[in-house]
Amino acid sequence: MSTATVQATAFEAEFDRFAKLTADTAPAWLRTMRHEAFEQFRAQGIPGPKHEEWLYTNLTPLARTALPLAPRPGEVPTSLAAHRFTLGVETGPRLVFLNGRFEPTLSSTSGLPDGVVLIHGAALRDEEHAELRKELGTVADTSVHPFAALNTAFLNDGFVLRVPAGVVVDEPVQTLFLHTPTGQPVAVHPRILVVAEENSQVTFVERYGINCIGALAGGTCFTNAVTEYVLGQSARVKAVRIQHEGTSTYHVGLTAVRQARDSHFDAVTLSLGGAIDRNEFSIDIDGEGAECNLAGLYVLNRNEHVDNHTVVRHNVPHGRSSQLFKGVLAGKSHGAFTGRVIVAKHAQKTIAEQANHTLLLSDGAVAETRPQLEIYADDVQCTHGATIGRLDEEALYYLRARAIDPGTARNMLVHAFASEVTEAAGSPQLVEGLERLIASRLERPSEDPDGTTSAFRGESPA
Amino acid sequence: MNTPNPMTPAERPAPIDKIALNPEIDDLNQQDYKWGFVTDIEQDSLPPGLNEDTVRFISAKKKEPEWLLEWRLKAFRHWLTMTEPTWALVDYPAIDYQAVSYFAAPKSDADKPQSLDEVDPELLATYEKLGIPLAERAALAGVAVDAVFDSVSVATTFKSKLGELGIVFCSFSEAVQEHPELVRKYLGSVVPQKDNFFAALNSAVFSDGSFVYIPKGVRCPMELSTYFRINAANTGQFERTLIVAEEGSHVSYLEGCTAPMRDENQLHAAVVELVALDDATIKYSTVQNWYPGDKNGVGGIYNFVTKRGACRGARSKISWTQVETGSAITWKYPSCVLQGDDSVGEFYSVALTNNWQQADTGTKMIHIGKNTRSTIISKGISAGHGQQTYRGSVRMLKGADGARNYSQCDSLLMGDQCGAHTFPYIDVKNPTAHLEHEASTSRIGEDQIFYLNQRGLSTEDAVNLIVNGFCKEVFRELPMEFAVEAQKLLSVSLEGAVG
Repeated sequence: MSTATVQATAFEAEFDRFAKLTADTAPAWLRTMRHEAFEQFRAQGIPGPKHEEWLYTNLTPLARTALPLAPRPGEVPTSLAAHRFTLGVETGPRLVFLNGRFEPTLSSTSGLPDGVVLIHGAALRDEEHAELRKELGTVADTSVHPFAALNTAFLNDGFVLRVPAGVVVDEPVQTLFLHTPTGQPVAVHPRILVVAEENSQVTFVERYGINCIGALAGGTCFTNAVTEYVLGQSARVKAVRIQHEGTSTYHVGLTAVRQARDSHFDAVTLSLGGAIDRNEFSIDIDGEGAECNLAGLYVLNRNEHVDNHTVVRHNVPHGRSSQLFKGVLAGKSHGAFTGRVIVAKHAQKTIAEQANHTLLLSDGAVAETRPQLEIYADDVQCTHGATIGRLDEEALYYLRARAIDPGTARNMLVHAFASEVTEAAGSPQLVEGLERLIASRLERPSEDPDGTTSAFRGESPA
Repeated sequence: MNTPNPMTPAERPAPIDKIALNPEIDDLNQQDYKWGFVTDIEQDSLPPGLNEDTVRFISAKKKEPEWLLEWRLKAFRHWLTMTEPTWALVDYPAIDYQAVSYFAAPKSDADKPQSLDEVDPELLATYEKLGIPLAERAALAGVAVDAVFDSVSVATTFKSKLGELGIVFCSFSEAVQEHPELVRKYLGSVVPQKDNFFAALNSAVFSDGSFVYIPKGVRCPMELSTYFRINAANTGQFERTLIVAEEGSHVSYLEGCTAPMRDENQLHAAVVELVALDDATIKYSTVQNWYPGDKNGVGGIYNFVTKRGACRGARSKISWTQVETGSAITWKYPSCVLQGDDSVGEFYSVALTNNWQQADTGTKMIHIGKNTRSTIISKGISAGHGQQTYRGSVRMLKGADGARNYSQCDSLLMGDQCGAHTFPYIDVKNPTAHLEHEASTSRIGEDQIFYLNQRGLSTEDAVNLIVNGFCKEVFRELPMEFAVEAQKLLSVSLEGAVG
């Protein structure tokens, strides 16, 4: 272990407890997988702020906090039962997880075409489903991602979506991860595997938290999510990831993707606040002609902290990738972006773009960005760009001159700034759904659980 | 011998273990030996090794005042506690700091080649290509010639002219003797002894370097160049440069030259400090073409440099321009600390890595004052097995209202074995600051070469033309003569990289 990391002693006891508790239900393969992963986690420790990959985010406090797994929820809160959990897309499968466990009363699997496999919990652990989960753990590299190792160590209620060759899933598959308040710090380790076989198409939505539901506020939580995507030849996947768990949550998320020839992976990620939100993408372009587009938006206030971290590895020729991350920072929030494009020696004809733009709306906000290119092939076109600044005075003046009040004018400009990212979600309903989420974040701060006035509300930054 | 005041035993720092264990030295201590070390003061060079005695020896050899010795020792003691940085994307065998000789007097004439006939013909061929005047070749190749193309007289003429204006331009050792108050005031004020591993090493054992002082309101009438102090001895591997520009003054300083320099030392760790007060401007241009190692990557200079300028005064300006084509390993980040309001920092760089060269270079712009501005233009060319990294940091601190930065880092790749990497670190803490960064990596378009081929240019000429165009933004910042030489230098350095 390097000096840049700390030993995560608090997790040791919890892991032993967990291993004992699930000794009966866990098959041998799972027990082995968990133990190996925990060893890897132990070897890596929790990265501290001196770790080059974790410069901007300090999670070492986790090392000292005992974080038991979130308990099985009792009664489903009525506020939840009444909620539709849609992003403007009313039909289609919806899967709700409470405290990391699948909640059938809130979920619906209607609208899935024949042949699409959706398994979770006990079914996933079952020996007879070995073939369906064979890619589990093969994409997220637990030897370099300590939190992915930790996630694997606590793997119990995983979730697998498998779209067979040639199948097109029209409706987005939506998942939602919620915590019920427990009054004490807890941890959940959601684990997802999405396999899109040859020529298949699917849109997959992951949502963590809904801040507008007051019943769910309170209680510190550590969410440590790992999502693996495997794309077969010419498969097309749209992935939407929304993190909205609120300011009492530490969220660490890894999206690991492996792409075969001519596949397309398009991701949109929204970070709408959290005490600490580390949002990591690890993409391996393993097939020629594959394309990957990542778009991210973070809208932050108060002391919120978001660290977007991407690595796109072009391992073969003729790949294409683009990254666009945008930040809107108010209050004393902190937005960081580290993006790395690695072009391997023989990955000629690669085209890679990377951009990070940040708007600073207040005095206390801090933006950090590290767009990085690491290139070992010569016949490539790789660019990156980064800007940090405030709203254009002239644009504001133009709107003011048309009798638009400063708050509205500012919001209009922020919307315009953000829309480039939300539009990447593709389907108009989904785009609209995302825009509504952002609008509520910008314009209706009363729905924030903390209820504090927001700097987005138009009062001009000092 | 004019020696500074020796220390009394009470003042002398506690001897390190090694000394205490050595009875011989204990004896010397009892005799109140002036310098507290065993080595004969008259000897010309030190055997390899580094300890406090080495530092004391160097200091004594240079007849330095006590405060400077203390300053060096402080640096040395801190250096002992530091570890060599490993974050740079360069790969080299571990350096044994005890195997390096830290002081060597210039070679005597008898050891040098006696005429150009004895010099490596390949080196001469390069001089030919660069168009270096015959008379200068001998000097550059280290041939023992007495009157080196009149450099002595040229230098003397310059010196008297500069002296009239109150400008001080001399070697660092001279400055320590003649202007100790200035040296003491500014030395280490920009790059403290503890700044980093290599700066600490340099602070402990620096051999010599240049010192420039421009008085208030004076505009230096000529480009100051180390070239004119060529005889100011083998400035050595641990060079220390300090330039102070008083209020309203202006100076342009040139370092290095395009011709490949013969150099015996593999390890170089230089420190350059610039101080610009109110309304002062310092322009610092470097052409570095040290031995890059042979075609197989054997040998070559390790160049670990700390360069930093402080824009202390309002409206001051520091501009770095560098053309880096030599050295096997380059680790260099000329920086500007923009403290004064409305101060300006600039960094223009062309770096070329061919064969097995590795360079991790870039800049740091730290915006502290209001309305500070910085510009970064970095052009990297990588060929052969060269690996090149742009690593730059732009920080805008809380008080830097209205600060602006524009950065552009372009890399050109030639050949499928080389690499080009870009690692910017950007950190903004003020909402009124404005920052833009762009970078691109690509290779020379086949259609561009085809177009030039069609018009009768050979592929090599076509590549040179394109590369020069690629670097134009930087070359135009160089003083005229340098710019012309730099263009030639690039084409020579790229030889064999095409086709």
